[in-house]
Amino acid sequence: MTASNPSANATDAGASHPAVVVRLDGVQKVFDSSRGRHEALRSIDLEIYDGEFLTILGPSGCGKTTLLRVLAGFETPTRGEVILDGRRCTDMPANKRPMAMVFQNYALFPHLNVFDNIAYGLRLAKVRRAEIAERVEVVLSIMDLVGLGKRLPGQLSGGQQQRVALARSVIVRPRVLLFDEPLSNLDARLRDQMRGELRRVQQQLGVTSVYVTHDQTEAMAMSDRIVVMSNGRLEQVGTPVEVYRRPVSLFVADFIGKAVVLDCSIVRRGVGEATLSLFGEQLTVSDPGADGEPLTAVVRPEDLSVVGVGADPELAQRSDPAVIRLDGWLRSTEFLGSESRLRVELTDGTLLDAVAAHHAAADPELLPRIGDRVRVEIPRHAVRAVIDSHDVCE
Amino acid sequence: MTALPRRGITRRARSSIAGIRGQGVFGLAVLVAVALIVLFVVYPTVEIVVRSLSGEGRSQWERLFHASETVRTFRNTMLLGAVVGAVGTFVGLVMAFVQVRTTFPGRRLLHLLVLIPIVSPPFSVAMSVITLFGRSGLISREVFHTRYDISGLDGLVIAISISFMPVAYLNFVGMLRAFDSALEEAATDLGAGFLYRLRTVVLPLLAPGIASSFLLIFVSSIADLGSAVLLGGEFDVLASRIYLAVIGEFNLDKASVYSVMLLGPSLLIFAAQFFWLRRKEYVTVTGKASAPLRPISSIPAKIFLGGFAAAVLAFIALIYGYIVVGAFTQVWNINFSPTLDNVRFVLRGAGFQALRDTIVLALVATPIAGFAGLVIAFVITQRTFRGRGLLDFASVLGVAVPGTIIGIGLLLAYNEPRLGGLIPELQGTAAIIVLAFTIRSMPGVVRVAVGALNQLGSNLEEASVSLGATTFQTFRKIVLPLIRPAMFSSLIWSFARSMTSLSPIIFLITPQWRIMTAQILNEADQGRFSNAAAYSLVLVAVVLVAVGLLAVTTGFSSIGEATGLRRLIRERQHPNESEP
Repeated sequence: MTASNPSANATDAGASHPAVVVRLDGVQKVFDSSRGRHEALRSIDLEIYDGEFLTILGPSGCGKTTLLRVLAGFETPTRGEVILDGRRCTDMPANKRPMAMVFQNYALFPHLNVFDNIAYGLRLAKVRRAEIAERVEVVLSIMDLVGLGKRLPGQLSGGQQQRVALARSVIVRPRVLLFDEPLSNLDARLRDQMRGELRRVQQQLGVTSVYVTHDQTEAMAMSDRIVVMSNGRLEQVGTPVEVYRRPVSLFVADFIGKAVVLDCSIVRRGVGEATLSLFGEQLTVSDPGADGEPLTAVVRPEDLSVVGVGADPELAQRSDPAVIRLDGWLRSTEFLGSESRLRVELTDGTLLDAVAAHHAAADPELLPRIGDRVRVEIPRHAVRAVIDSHDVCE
Repeated sequence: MTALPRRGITRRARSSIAGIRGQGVFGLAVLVAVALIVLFVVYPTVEIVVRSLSGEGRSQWERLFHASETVRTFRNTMLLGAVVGAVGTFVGLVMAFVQVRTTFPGRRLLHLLVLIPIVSPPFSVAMSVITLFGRSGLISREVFHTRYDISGLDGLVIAISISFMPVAYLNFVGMLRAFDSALEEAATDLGAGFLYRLRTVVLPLLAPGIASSFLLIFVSSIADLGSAVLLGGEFDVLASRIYLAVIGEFNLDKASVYSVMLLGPSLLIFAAQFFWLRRKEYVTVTGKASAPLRPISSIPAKIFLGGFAAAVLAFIALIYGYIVVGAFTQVWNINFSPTLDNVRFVLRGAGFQALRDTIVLALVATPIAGFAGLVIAFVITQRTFRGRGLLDFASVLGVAVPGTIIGIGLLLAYNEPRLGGLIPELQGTAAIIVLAFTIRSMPGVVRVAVGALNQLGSNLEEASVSLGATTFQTFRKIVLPLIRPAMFSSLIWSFARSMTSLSPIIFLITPQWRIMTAQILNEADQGRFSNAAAYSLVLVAVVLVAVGLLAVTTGFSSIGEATGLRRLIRERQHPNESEP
């Protein structure tokens, strides 16, 4: 099974990216029902590159599944276009699209055995009997399902069902493989294992994949790129590192990982830059808000360091222009094994949550104790300005 | 009840196969199905209303409207519906409680006995009640030594309640089985006793089912022509008035006017049940019990339930047992010397024509109803289809409109060629009887098919489409195999329904085409009760053979055991929710 598609028909030649397989152009989807009008997608522009693993991440109701269903052809956009390999396919019915979907509940046909389930798409495509048998055997071995061909779906474990669902989709050599939260029905341990396996198969076959999930860990672990959605809009598109380290909005910062919001005011805004005032110090950071949206400042909890003042007498005198220092008391700690969470109350009453990682050189026993005076250090370069969007949808 | 959000999911789940549009085969099938409903349900009903408002009909309205007896008849009809609705619902509820919530022995027998009225013509109970409790009935005469005449409201209530009680019973058994035991356990934990739990938890949750059972029985009972004719006596109801107007006076104008009076409340009640209650009920029924319900432990409750159930079962056994006695005796209720003459009359003699005709026509109607019902169900469950709500309602009109009205309507509508000769004159043909059978049994098929399709959810279909299948291929390769057992059983029940129905065909039969139920009524009317009993017995036997066939082929399992559908449903009960 060699489904790797050479990027022959590149649409944006000259760009450093690989060929674009799917382009969404201003896709909008409105559901009209008796209960009113619901705009599930608000003008989505997105390019999906050949061979990549793209994850659409967002909370419930943000429109991510609708977006996937528009791609699959199960929903027709109210406005906008879907372009596949340079050709408009907005109105192309789902069964004509070279895409295959893996469903959350697997949707294995309960009356067909594993072999027939996997061969289903090939039979529809009128592939010769001998070739079907051959291709199914190959896929069974890739998926570690050898010998299970005669079983009915009901006789398989959850993980096996998951693999059959994947096998059934990849065997038709889809141009794009679509995943609708395929791991959410598995228990935590199996989920971790399947995550790796899914990614391995995807890379082995080189098939372009779009994966919908609300689990940020899954998204971070598997994706080449992540699309963060909220309220029918794309909040940010980027690699896992980009969206984690350089979130553009408070929503993204808060949804992927944890964000510590810092009290700040804007002193000045230039082109792509803003000067913020926080804790009495001025700080110039890059400005993600191109249209002058309200900003706020965030840091990641693991970027904060909390030091007991009593433990280090020299600390009070030390000064470093690269860090902002704040004094306070340690109010609570949670020891979580690999790290501890610390809650500090600053002298002005603000609460800050920090994370202290534990490794051989950082003994959790040496952490300050609850009630101790502590100093919080924030590296200036860790502070990011993000768009203060409050429309986090439910 | 965990089922609360479920409805939304099911609704969404069967969202969309990308367009039925452009799928030729289905377009055609939909057209045929819609035409069937419009031409043979809607149009005949409209025809009756039109007839009742025609010149002749208007004068009938005037005459009847001012006659105090008409007012009385209407009031009687409503009273009958209300009392039978209440009694039938109560009996069904108690029997369901005994079935689901007790450990009494013989609950399997209870199930079978309670369901007998479904496989027998509704008025056979009336027949037996007359011979047992009538003026010269066996029990009134020999046990109570009275000449009390049970004809009238009391007799009708007893007979019709028993006839339609299974509707409520099946409804409540489903609801009680789906009842989440955690709810009751929670109430017990908080210190609630049996009666308190019943009042505050169980009954309120069953309320939609109680209301809908009441309404369904109400509608069925006011339309029950056979019982009203046999057992009504001085107690006039619309159904018997319609019968007399047509058979006695052959005055179709008068019959139309009475029909409209009957149609109004029936449609109103059915619409209420359909648009309002059914939705609420769905919520409760779909919930899956997290643990088996604990049997009732309260002693007084057990005594009451056991006593009540035993009495009802004894009564049913008496009623039907006495029909058997009637079938094998010289003159039912008078001369008890055993004979096979009556049964021979039905199987070999003059009665055989009715037996043969009924079976043939019911066999013809069943696949038509099955096919049309399946197509309509498929269309109804597609979200993308506009106007599916209307089609959904139209598809149940076949049972919402009382049978007599369907019959008279067909008669009025097709007593001459229609659509420029495309539909020939149907009056007096076998086709019109087949149509009546089809119309009456199709709604049941639609409901079963919609249920089965909704349980499938659309992910399976989407998976198939996503792998390149057309809607039709998906239907043939995925949907049909999965709902086949459900469809098969609904076809058997369609057959049973056609075999046992009287009111829609009573005005359509001719000497060329005889129908058993009409023959039974005729024989009973003529006082040949033993022949009527023999007919009833053979009729029940035929239906039981069909049902037995079903039981054998599906191994007594319910819908999906064989197909794994059950497991599928179970999985769907606990999906990790993604998006609303």
